Amino acid sequence: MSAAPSERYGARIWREFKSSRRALWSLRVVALLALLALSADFIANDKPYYIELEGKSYAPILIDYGVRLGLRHWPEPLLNADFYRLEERAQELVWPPIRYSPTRVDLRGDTFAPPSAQHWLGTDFLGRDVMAGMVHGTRISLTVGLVVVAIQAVIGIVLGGLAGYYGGWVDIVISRFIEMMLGIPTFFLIITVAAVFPPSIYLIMVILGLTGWMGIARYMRSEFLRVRAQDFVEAARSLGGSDLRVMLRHVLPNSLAPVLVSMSFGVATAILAESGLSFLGIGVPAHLVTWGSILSAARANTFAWWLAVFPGAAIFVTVTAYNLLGDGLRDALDPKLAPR
Amino acid sequence: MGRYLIQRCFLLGLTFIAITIIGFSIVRLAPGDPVELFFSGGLAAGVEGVNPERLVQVEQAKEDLRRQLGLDQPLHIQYIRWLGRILHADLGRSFKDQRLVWDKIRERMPLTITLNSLALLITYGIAIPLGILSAVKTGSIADRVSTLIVFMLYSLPSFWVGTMIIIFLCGGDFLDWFPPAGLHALDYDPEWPLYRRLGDYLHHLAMPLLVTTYGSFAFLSRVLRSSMLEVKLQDYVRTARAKGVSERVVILRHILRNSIIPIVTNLGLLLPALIGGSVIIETIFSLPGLGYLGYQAVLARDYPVVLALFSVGSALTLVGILISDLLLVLVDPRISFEGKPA
Repeated sequence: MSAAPSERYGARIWREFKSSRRALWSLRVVALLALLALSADFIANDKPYYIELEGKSYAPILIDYGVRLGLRHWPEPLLNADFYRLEERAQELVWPPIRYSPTRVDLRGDTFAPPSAQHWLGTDFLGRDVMAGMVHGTRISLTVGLVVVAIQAVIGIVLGGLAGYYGGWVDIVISRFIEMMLGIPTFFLIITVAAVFPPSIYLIMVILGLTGWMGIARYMRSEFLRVRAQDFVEAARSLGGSDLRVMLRHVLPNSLAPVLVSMSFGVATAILAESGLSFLGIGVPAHLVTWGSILSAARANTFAWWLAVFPGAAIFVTVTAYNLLGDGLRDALDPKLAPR
Repeated sequence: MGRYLIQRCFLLGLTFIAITIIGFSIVRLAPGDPVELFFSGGLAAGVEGVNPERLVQVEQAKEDLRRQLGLDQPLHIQYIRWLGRILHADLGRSFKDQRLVWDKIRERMPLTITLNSLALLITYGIAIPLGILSAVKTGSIADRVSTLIVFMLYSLPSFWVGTMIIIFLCGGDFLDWFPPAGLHALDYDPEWPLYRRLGDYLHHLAMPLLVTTYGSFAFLSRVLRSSMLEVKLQDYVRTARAKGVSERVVILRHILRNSIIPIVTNLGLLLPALIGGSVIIETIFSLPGLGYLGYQAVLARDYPVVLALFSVGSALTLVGILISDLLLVLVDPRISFEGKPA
């Protein structure tokens, strides 16, 4: 019942998924973006990988992690150091490919510098490097996408599962609740909350999570309804399995597949929503450099085309990749629906 | 049908109350006393100098206002009163300029409604033929190209496209084809002949309309295509062909009529977009509609306006869902809600 058949199922899904070039490419793009997000500090940073100062060697980026985690302090010569100035005194210094952090104001370069060898994608109104902002923006976008979908999945799976498993009045109550939630104008709720509370990216994630779980819950409900009626569930129950055990061990694993599709689309929607809010300057703190906030600077400074082209393209590529991933998953899970 | 409708309307009312309780609580739980905000004209206003003698009077006035606005009552009483007022279209006064919120909404409504009705016409006007073409000629080059384009359009964020249009087409350092903001030309004169006024209007609305439309027609034509592909394989379609019905009639009468259902029901769901969706577009193109009103209200923390738009938005969403359910019954006689617990 457990391991072997589900493995074969997984292998079949993977084979179906792989057979679509579009799906495979979307997976590669998603993986690349995840890699970018994870290694953002090593790609764009105003601290070097390695510095040799007065005969001693340091790895400032790693030290920075330690300091931020509260594990250690900056060694004396590097405390509050500006590594651009230390460059002359250092015996050895290795920079990351992009020598700026997203919030670093480049006093040597100009504000609104167009793309050049120094600033690959130009600078914004404060002289911050757009490329660095883009790389680190990946992290914010993906975090928002994943956290929001995680919240949605937990609520959706629990409520949808309960409704589908128990049916009856539990189902009626939960279904009414879902309908009520669908009536909330999400965008206006976010705007209302953003107008009232101080800007915070976490608040945005929570609201997007709390208002977007209904699709997953509906899928989950119908899946639970379908699976619940099958013989193996009956068997598990007659063997004395408790409701909780039957739900978690038998029904849930057999109902999860369609939710994955929903979750993939959910990531795209959440990223789009967050960048839209950043673009409007609502709910996202002003000091945070996100794709949407870079783009919004272009609105008032229409000559700075680089502020619009690159972050917008990044949002577009990411959203498309997650949408295609969802498409590919759906086709793989349900070969009947696949085109041709 | 009548009983179903009554049940639905009852539930709709309950849902509206539940939703507005949420909105009301958020705004009331907000840090900052509404009376203070009322006096200061929202957070956007400057702080005046302090005069000790006047201060006592001001405190007294605040106290009076608090009583007058009912803010000395417990929260649930406040909510019930607010709900009573809102049902009489009394949405309170704006913190910013003390004007009636209802007046502000009313004067901005025509633009938003015009923009969205035109967008709706264009959306359906393009989506239906495109969907049919793509489904009828499945696998052809035209289908593949249009599927690809439609997919890309669907994923293009509207705020990006809007910004790009402003930068590259609206008189920045690049082309100067369209006006970047507002509704009228700088030298606009109400005495202009009709064709000139109309031309000016369309010239200003063209780009906002484009940005509003492309995403939804992409979405709708995708929905229509897949729904037609499903119907195409049905037995009765084969039967129709077998008995010699012309291809044109098969497509228009047998396939299209049965696959149009999801498209029609979407009509109701587009209603809330009337306000919500226009926030970004109206903000980008500085069009004085409801969306822009909401955006400015948020930035100024003008709670009465925000809460009013939230309530109107919820009401539209709920009515939209109801309409799309009713349309479903009208379009597809096979579907009936009778006997189903609503």
